Amino acid sequence: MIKSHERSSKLFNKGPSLLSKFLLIFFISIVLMGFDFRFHYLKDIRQATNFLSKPFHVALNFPNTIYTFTTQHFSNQSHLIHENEQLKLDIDRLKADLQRLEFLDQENNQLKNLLEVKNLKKFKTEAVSIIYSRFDPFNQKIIIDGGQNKNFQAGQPVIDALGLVGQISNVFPETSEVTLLIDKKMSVPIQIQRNGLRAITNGNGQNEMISLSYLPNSVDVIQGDILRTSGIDTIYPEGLAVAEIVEINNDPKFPFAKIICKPIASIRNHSHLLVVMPTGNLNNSIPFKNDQKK
Amino acid sequence: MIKKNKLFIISLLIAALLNLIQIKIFNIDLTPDFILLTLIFYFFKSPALVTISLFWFIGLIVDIFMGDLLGQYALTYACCYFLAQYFVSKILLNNKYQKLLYIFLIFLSAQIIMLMINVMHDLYYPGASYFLQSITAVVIWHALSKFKIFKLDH
Repeated sequence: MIKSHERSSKLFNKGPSLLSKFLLIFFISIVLMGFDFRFHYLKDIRQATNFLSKPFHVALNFPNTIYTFTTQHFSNQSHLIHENEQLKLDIDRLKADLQRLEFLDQENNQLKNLLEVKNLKKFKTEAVSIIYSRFDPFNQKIIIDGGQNKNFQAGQPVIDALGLVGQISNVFPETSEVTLLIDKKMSVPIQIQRNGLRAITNGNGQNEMISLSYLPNSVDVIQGDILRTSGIDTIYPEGLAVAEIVEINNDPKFPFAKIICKPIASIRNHSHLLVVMPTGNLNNSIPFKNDQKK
Repeated sequence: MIKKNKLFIISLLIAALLNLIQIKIFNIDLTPDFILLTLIFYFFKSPALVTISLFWFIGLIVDIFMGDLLGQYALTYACCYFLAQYFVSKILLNNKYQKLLYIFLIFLSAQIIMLMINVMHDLYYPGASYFLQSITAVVIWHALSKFKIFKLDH
């Protein structure tokens, strides 16, 4: 239990009382928070002290490193042959798909040229791996390896094989912070694939869902509609899959329909992601002002 | 004293590492704040070592790495210390279940303070399941107290 002799020694402490110490600390904390809310200097402090967190990253990745090392070392030949065959089959299948896709792409571009519509831009990607996700119930963020050393900038979209995952919000020398699609401060301009309706998604923050806001009750959406990035903001390339509508609640009591969507990308189940490299300058087009200067 | 401090710093570093691992059941984040858990453990284990300013300072370091605003964890930890210290002599803590309840209340107050700070600066409520983290903290406390090195009683 509590050691009474140690506590009682504090009874005759000659320093300031606990309450006065607490009030002082309370006041200092409130002032710090107020100034940080106004001037956002925490971001700069974090930039300067980020190198201190590197041992943690190494320690966190240690079990993974050991696992990959041992599995690579001890994987037997038959397993490798089997995997190789499987991969060859996959490549053949994908090549066949690609031929069709190239043909369609070309045809599409020709048709767009005929209609004088701007062609879809191709984009380059950079593969990164996730180091950890930040412990904070109020923010949905993950840390990836690669930052200023890979020329990442705040604002770049992050995708996986299925669709959009989030956006880079802070870049450090060797790591970057990615705000996930489901974060409460994250908004993405989208277009519904079926009818081309444009809207904006908002993260919910608490469950792994996002919502469509400011659409009237009479809006033409059905369950299962696929949302894709519209490319209007010049940050997200056009046509990335974002989410699928799972629930529509158009209660006439409320002015807007409540539409819940499930992200298509498996946001939590990855170790590797792709960062879309920008074609232009992103400095003027960061959509959310999360950790940026307001 | 130096040896004690070493152990304290190492346990805080381990807690910081554990904080980066998420405990999720049915998509609900149940990860308690391991750093606060460690601090409260030392609050009972060696009351002479930890003070309100130490709690505040460690909170400030946590803020630099994980906080949204500089000072939110610092304020939360300082409030926790104040509440824990203020009531420790006023409440009967005879058996371990009373103590578990006491720890639960400290964690709950920490979560409420954190929620208040977050609601004030960006009007966001993460849902009632957020408070389940206090329960996980108590469960982890109870589970660890079975081990000899974590025993507080002599």
